[in-house]
Amino acid sequence: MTRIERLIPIVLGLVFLAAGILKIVDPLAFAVSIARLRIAPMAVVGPVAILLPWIEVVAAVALLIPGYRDPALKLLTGMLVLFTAILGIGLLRGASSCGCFGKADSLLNRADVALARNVVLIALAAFAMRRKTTCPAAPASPASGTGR
Amino acid sequence: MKRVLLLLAIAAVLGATANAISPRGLSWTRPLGRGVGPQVTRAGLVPVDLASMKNLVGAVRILDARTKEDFAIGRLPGAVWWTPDGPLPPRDKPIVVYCANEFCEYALEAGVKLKAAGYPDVAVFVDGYEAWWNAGGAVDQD
Repeated sequence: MTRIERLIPIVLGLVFLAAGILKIVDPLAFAVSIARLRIAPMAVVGPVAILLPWIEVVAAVALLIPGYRDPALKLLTGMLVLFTAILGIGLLRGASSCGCFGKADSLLNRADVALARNVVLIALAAFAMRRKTTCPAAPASPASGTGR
Repeated sequence: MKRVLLLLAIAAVLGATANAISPRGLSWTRPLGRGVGPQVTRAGLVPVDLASMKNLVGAVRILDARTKEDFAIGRLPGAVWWTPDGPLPPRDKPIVVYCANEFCEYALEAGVKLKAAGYPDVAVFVDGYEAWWNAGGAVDQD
């Protein structure tokens, strides 16, 4: 595994850990951001605001646990694709903030910046998952050859 | 797939537990609270709903308490952008203040400031710009 391949899960993990923790610290701000995007019905805002940050944190930690790295990558990639679609729709509707990092610095939360960031993260995650599926198969056992 | 579901289940348990014990925990069904309507009334201001606001446009001074960005994108007809830090508006007409929606507190803060400054007739359009827009109301834009 190259250094970059080792680095990608760490980068993804840190991004989602930070995003999740900032939302957990101020769930109301995140709920307001979701409501402002005007995509989810109000009935969904509460559960999403309460649970989504914890999914981010748990998946980020799971990246470091042997056996859970791939499921965590799949989960985070799925979330990234969903967030990107939602951000795109929100931007088309004139939303300027995404609440991606809670109430943190406004540049982190700008919807257009978040969209670009997500595209990069999706590419990294896809690369990490693809690399796993294209690893060469183990060489055949020497005992399988014909006898002399 | 099983491990993905396990991670989701762990997150759900942790999230629900943390929300239950945290002083900042949200309501599952009303995460944004009950809106500013009751607070507007308690502050001695007049709450105005969407139906009433349609009749008031043109007759009152309308103040927009949102961000300048949002104001530029769209505002109620004749509205003027105003914050509590700005110079006080003229006192020749009744005033109606609004912001984004029923959960936004900027209009409430603006209304309280105006009332404290002695304005006799201050109301808050509680439903906010989003309700106006969703109802197809005409808007001014930059």
